[in-house]
Amino acid sequence: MRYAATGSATVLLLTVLLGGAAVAADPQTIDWAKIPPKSLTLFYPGESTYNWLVGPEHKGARSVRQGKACIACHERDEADLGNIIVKGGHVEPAPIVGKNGVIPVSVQAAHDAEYLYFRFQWKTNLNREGRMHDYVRYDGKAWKWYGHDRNDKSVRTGQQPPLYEDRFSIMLDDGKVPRFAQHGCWLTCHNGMRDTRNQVVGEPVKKHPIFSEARYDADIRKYLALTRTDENASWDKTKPKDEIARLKAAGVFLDLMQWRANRSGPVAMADDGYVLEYRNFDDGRNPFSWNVDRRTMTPLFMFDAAKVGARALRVEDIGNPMKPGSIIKGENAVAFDPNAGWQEGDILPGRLLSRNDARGSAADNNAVYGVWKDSTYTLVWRRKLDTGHPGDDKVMKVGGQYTISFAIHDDNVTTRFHHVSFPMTLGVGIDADITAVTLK
Amino acid sequence: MNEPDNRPSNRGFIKRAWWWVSRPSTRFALGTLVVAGGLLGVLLWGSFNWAMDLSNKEAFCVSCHEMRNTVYKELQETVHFTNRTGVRATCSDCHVPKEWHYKLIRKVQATNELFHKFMGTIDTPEKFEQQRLAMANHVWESMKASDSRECRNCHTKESMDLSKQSRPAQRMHKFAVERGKTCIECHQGVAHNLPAGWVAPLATR
Repeated sequence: MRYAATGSATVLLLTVLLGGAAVAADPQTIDWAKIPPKSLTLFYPGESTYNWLVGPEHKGARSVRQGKACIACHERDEADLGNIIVKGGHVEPAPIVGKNGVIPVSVQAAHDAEYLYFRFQWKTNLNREGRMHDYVRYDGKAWKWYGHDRNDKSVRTGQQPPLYEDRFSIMLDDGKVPRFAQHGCWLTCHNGMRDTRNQVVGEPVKKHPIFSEARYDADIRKYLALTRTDENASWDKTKPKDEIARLKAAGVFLDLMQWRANRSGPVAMADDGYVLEYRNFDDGRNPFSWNVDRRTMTPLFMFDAAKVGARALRVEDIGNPMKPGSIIKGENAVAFDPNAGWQEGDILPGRLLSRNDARGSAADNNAVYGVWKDSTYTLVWRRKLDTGHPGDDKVMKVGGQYTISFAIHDDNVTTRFHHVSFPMTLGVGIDADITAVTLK
Repeated sequence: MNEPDNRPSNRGFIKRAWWWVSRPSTRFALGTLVVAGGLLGVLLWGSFNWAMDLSNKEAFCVSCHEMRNTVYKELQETVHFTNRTGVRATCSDCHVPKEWHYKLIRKVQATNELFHKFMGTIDTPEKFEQQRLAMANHVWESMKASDSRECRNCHTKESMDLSKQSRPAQRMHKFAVERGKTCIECHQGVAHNLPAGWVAPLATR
């Protein structure tokens, strides 16, 4: 009995060691110099929701309605589009001063029998890492949210500083979502969503039969028109729940993974989600949760002074690469002590990170490393071709072709204030717009 | 012994025909024949062309083809039907060649449509939609093969002022010239709905 148990444990250990070591390469040590880079131009799309694309203000509306690809008219047009839209106009009613129209990105891709590897490089507009997010500040009496994204009214009016995390996002499809190959992420963008015209927040969302569920926020996020019943794909005209579940079971959704400089990067992860009736997270548990009881506005963890040098950050620490940007369970965090002599101006991250607590399909992207140096991010990413979670991930195969698109949130922005790519083909070991080279 | 009977009635059809055209007339003056022949020619030619033109009329196409509620209706919603300058392209402008011999070939081919009309291949909207992709592909193939000849009856590269076009149009037309593309390779569905099941090419490359 004892021997049998030991034997099994040994076999298990050997399997893990051999199996793991034999296939998974460390994306940080791959010889990327040998893998040809592809240059992309991510551009600022403004408020070009799908409704806008098929509406009277877009000259190519008829082509879009017919299903023609964006690049049928806008091939190599990214720079012009971005630079025009970013200045403001009917596609951007709320321009951000000083924002750049385009972000050039270098993409390299590789694969082996089990994994897909990426390396992305891009220059940021901000002269520091955007790793501050959902911070809370002690004002002498209470903890209050501190900082916001650049489009927030409090930032636009100068009441709050711009503080929001940088992000790199990947959207992926295997041909199951009609028109994604032609229209890419625009397919998920509709009026009524956060920061779009007629945005819906609060009560109306919470009263909706589907979005009243706890797992949804009190706003509208990315969704596919095929989950709606009317021609305009209105936010509230959802198909019945079981019909949406059937679509999901049939793989009709988009995989959406985001590397987040505050909420996932410090634990070498990216989140894992999917877009269907909403921008959902995959089953399981994210590497991030709240570090604040949002009802009482009480922090849950503070920095471990023995490791960080202080229990909290101060304003001048923001942007200091020697100071942590995130609070990480089991690494630099201890339980919050309300009587620790808090001073006005003490700042704590409002999010709590934990690599160990992350699990399930939500924890699939667990080898993602981002380094910001000389205003340039270098981000390497490993993802299993088949994550083993077909319910909310796209399963890839060696020799397969997929549709992929990218987005970057740069310089304290969220929602649509990002830079995006048109959809491209991704070939795993086969020629495509982006070819994942076979590692030897 | 009787003389051989040379009367036409006793000959075969071909010989008889030859007899009629090779023997000079004994009844009509040459001038009369030339003038009458000319007039007859004009009349025949005219009526042939009249028939051709008639069969090119929108009303003619719509009267006997299965297009009244489909492609014709769709055309009416496009810029080829109603536009700023008041120039209208109707069925034949895009689907019947202007040059005489191409036109004749096209008209002969069109008799195939009569066969399908007879067979009822597309006599219901459902059947029409079922066949739409095949029919559209057929039209696109022939347009591609003719370097979009019917488009070029009105639109020519030479008379196009790129600087007056929209920014994306300028760029894409420049690419089209560089890549030796013809109109229809990008402009499918300019006058009608695109068929369900048609997958738009991702690039013009």
